[in-house]
Order: sequence, then C-alpha cells, then structure tokens
Amino acid sequence: MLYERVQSALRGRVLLREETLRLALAALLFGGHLLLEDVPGTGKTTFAKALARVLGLSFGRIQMTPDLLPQDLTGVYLYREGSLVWEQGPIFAQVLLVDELNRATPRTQSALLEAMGEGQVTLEGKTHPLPEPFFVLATQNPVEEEGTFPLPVAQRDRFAARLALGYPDEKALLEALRGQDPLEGLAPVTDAEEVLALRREVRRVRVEEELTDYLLALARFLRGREGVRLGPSPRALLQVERLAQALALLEGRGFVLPEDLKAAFRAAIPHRLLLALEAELSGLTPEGLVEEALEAVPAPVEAG
Amino acid sequence: MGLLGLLHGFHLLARVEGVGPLGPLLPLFLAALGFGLGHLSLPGLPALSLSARAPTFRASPGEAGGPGGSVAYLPPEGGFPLWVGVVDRLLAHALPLALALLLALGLLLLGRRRGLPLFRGLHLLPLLLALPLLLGLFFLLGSLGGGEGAGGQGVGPPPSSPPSQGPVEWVHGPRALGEVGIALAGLSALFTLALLLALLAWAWRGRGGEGGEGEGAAFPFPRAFQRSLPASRVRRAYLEALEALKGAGLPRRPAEGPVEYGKRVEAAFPEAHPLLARLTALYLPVRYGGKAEREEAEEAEALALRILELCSTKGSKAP
Repeated sequence: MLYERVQSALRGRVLLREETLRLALAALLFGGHLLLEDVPGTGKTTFAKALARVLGLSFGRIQMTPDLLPQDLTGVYLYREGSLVWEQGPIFAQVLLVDELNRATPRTQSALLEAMGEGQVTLEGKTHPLPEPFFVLATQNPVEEEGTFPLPVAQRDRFAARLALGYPDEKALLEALRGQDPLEGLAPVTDAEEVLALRREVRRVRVEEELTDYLLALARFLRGREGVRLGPSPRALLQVERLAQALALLEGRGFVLPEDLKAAFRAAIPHRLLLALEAELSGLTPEGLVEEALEAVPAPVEAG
Repeated sequence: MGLLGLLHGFHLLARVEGVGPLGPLLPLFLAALGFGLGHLSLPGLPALSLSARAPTFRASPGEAGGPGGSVAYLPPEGGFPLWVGVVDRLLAHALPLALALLLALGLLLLGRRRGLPLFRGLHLLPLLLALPLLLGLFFLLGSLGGGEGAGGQGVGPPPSSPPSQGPVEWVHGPRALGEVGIALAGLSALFTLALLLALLAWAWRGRGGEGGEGEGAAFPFPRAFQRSLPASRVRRAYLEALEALKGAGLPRRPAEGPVEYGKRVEAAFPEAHPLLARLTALYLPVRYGGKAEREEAEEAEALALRILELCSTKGSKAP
C-alpha cells in the first residue's frame, strides 16, 4: 500500500499529521494540486521536498516575488548559435513547490494556474507538455499580507485542497530537534510509473449514487446558506468526488465511504467559499460553515 | 383495529341524543366516511343502527312527536329492494372479515420484507392478535339468526321500549335516504378494499428475500423510503444493530457515517465495539461497494443478534 510505505518513510523526518499526508497523497493521485497555507517555519518546503523524494519524482521550486515574470516559470527561447533554443523553466518538474504564491503578480499567477489546469505551457505558439505526474504544492502565508496579491476565488478554485500543516506536538518536535536532517538518506519507495498507474485506478473507485446525492445536498446547503456569497462550483464538487475516490484507494478500498467524502469536503471546499462581508464580520468562517453543512445534512447510512 | 374502534365510537356518539340538527344524518355520513365499517358489530358492543332493515334514528325532542316526545323511523313502506339487503349483509360481515384477512396478510408480507423469519419474530404479534378477532367474527356470523337479514322483506315490529322518555311516534322513514346511505357505504368500502389491495401489491413487490442490492431497483417508490427498508440482509442486520444500539442509548446521529459511529460506540460501549466493527466491515462493501452478500449475510445476522442481546443486557442493567 502506497500510503503505508510513504508514511513509514517519512515518519520521524517530516512533522506532519497523518490526515494531511493522506490528503496530500490523495490530491496527487487524482491529479489535483495543493494549497498549503500556514505560517512560516512549519515545514512546508521540507514536506514538499521529502514527498518528491519518497515518490521518486523530480522536484522543482519557485520562490514567488512581485517582479517574477511568467517566462521565469515556464522558460524562454534563447538565441544561440544562430537559432532559437528552448530553455525550460523550473515549472518542468513533477513535484513543484511554489513558495508564497500570493507574492507574484496576477499575470505570473495565472501563467502557473494555466499550467496546472492544462498540464502544458504554450510559448511562441508551441505547446510543451509538462512531465507526468505534475503536482503543484503552492504555499501561502496567511498572516503577512502586505505587498501580496491574494488569489481570486476563481484561481483558488484550481486547487483541489487547502491544507494547513500546523505546529507539531512537542514530542514530534523534540524528535525532530534531536534527529537527523530530514532529507538525509531518504530513499524513494515508489516511482512515477506506479503513481501514474494509481491515478488510472482512482477513476475506477466506485461512488454510490446516494453518495453523489449526498455531495450535492452538502453543496446545496452551502449555496443556500445565509452569508455565503459564492458556494462550491461544479469543478469543486467534481474534485471532492475525485479526492474521496483517491482517499478510498489509499486505504485499499474500491469504493467510497461517507467519511471519505466528508474528509474530501473539509479539505476541498473552504478555500473556495466566498462569504458576505457581514458574515465575516459576524465571525463566520468557511471552515465553520463546512462543518455546519456536514452536521446538518444526513449521511447516506441506514436510518437507525 | 384502532380505526375500527374509533369508527365504532363515532357511530355510537352519533346515536347519542341531541347532536344537533345534523343528528339524524350523522350515522349515514359516518357510515359512509367509515368505509362501511360502521356496520361492524362486535360482541359486547351495542348494535349499530344503520341497517337496510331498520335505519332508525331519532328526531330531536320537539321536532316531531310533540313536546318531549320523539320519532323513530322504520323502514319505508314496502321495504328496501333486495340489493340493499345484500350490500348491508356484506358490509356487516364479509367486509370486516376481508379487512382482517388482508391486514394479517399485509403484516406477514411486511414482516418478510424486513427479513424477519416467517413464523417467529415481532411481526407475528399482530397476526396473533388478529386471529381472535377472526374467531370472534366467525362466532358472530354463526350466531346470526334468520330473522335479521333479508333486506327487502323484513320490517320488524317496533322496539318494545324506546330509549327516551316521552311518547314515541314510529313512522316509516324515507326510502331514498336509506338506499343512498347504504350505497355510499358500499362505495367507500370498495374504495377501502382497493386501497388495501394496492398496499398488498406494494408489499409483495418489495418483499425482498435472498436477492442482492439490485432487487430494489424496480421499486416505484421514492429512494428515501427504499432506504428505510433495505432489501439486503446485511443492510437489514446493520439496521437492526443500529436500532438495538439506539435502544441502549447510543443512537447514530443523522450526519454520522458508519465509521465515525463505530468510533463513538467504541468509546461509549466498548463491549459492543468488536461486534459492531465486524458488522460494519461486512456492511460497508455491501452498502457502498455493490458487493454481493451471500456468504456474509448469516454472519451479519448473527452479529446483529449478539449486539441486540448485549444491548438488552445493558438496558436491563441500567438504573
């Protein structure tokens, strides 16, 4: 089982909750991308590097700044020895860490988001496919917003899930302080072939019709909830379903449970909700509203 | 049975003196409304008044028969036609008998659908209750004499002692009123029978059995209703376990998934947890994975039974 192998390889090296690792792997498996939102120093970069290494995938990193241009990501054509030569940008990696995404200008952000959506970049009329699997981990710092360009909802919608790593508990922190360099001696436990094969498997995981109805009911609840200006989009619901399928596959199941759907909903919906100003001022949060929906909508289980 | 009693009570109420200007018509109305069941005369209860032979209801004092007196109606002169007597007899005896039989059959089918064995289990209780009723009806039928029936002919003598004070004037009632009442009661009885037959047809179609998940697909009822009565044996076993745990004070919250619920039971009722965990493991592939269930059904039922026993023990120990 891929999850156990990865978890075992990362144990004691990366300060990560199990649920976060599961969701990150699930996002990778269904072809989604991840938004890591947390304060600095919680191990976002280490996690991305370690994940790429244990999965046997190539790693790329881009530090976003306001003066970064799209070509700095995608690459450029250089004139060399009488001809134009294609120089690949750092975006051509299987696991791409985009640090502080909201520091880049909207123009550069949208170049990245286009690559995430299409799995390719187009330059000078030529299309260049990105390597497969292509998995973006973009980070955002939620506390320092000066000089940033917050992602609009339409662009946040491109991310399958938003996760927060959070501070580790003291025991894990102590182990990390006393332990070795987290990336030292970290060996791959799988490769791109297996990841791609699992990606194909995700689509075959069964989702009972009533679970789809349940998902629609959750979305309906949020869309009709007072204080919600923008509820989950069709793309969001599709990604919740895929994420739930991937979560089930990671557990070795060929079918989705209500719990998979709930975990996927918690991870995939809050960053896509747009609240009314009054609702925000009254203390409502997207996470709180998602929990409210999950508590209010009956799960499809025998009515006992 | 409750409905029968209620209708009977209404009918008796209607016979009480002083029910207002509608008093004389109320028995007819109630008999029609009550799908003809107003005719049911159980042993020990007062006889009902609506009959082809003697639709006798009393006018209000002062309305006829002089001050303080009353008037009682007899069948019209020349009696009712034959069909009135036949319908009256059918309503009085055959209909309750048919209803009781249909109810018993319906309960059996519903019990089978719930996966309960045919000749034991809770659903047998209503059947056992229905049997004495049937016997009572047979007794009633057997005890009937020839003098009571025969719609068209029998105009009996006036009752020897009218129930109220004052002089009573016996007059022949309007012919049409009795016929219309009987016809209405007959029609509504037929309507009731049709409804019951439809209910039975539905129970038969959804009777479940040994089939898998796909069996309920042709069911023409809303999905929420199908969910409440799962056709699969494993799902029924899980539902029974849920009901047992609910009885033990651990109901599943509507928004709770099976795994979440299992964790809560583990904390609150550790003795039941291994059983529920195993039952949940059998239930999940059947419920969400479309798995056929033949091998697991018996194990699931045994687990549900053990959970039921555990919950009963817990319930009996509770203060």
